[in-house]
Amino acid sequence: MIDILYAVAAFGILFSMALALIRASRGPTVFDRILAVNMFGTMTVIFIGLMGYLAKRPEFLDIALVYALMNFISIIAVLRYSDFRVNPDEEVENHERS
Amino acid sequence: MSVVDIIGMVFLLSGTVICIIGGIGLVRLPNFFARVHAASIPDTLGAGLCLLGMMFLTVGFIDAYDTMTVALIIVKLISIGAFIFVTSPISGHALTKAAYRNGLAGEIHPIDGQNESNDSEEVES
Repeated sequence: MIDILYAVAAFGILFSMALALIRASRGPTVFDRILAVNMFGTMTVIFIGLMGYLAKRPEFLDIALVYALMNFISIIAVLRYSDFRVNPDEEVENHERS
Repeated sequence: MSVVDIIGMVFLLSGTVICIIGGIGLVRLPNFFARVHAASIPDTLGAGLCLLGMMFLTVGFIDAYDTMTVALIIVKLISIGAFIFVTSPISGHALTKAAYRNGLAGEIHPIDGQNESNDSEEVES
């Protein structure tokens, strides 16, 4: 009984990840894609934890912790890259190009 | 299923529902800043409820593992939750600031009455 409920929760998280991927592939600007990837990473942390519970091996939480750290650092790194590219004279062009 | 399992499952499934609601908002909302608002819901409330449910469900493992292992699992869950609660608003703020500097704020403060919403842009792409 409890395994079925774990599977329901895992499928719900997977559905949410699929919705984030839809926004990441469709998003008009590059920031929409970064936002969707950020949410996808958070959902992945929860999903790895749930997989540990579904397999009755909660040691997977170490991997989830490392993934949470890596997700934050990657988002900040991508945003620094996008910040350094900003030229104040080309704001409108930059928006239209992205 | 004991009472603790049922409480944990209720927290876990409500967190899942909130994650799905955030995903639907991320797909359907028209504006970038509205989408930031929608995407930060599952990052804090959804993840927090899921991790709280996992903490209750770990207590059900106390027959299979010894007490120290269960305590270590709960400490790991608390550290993941604290880290997500600290870093998710920081990354959301950094993302919104970068988007504001790159000129996306023209969408919510239309200057000439044109470019009022993001819908036309979505149709083009």
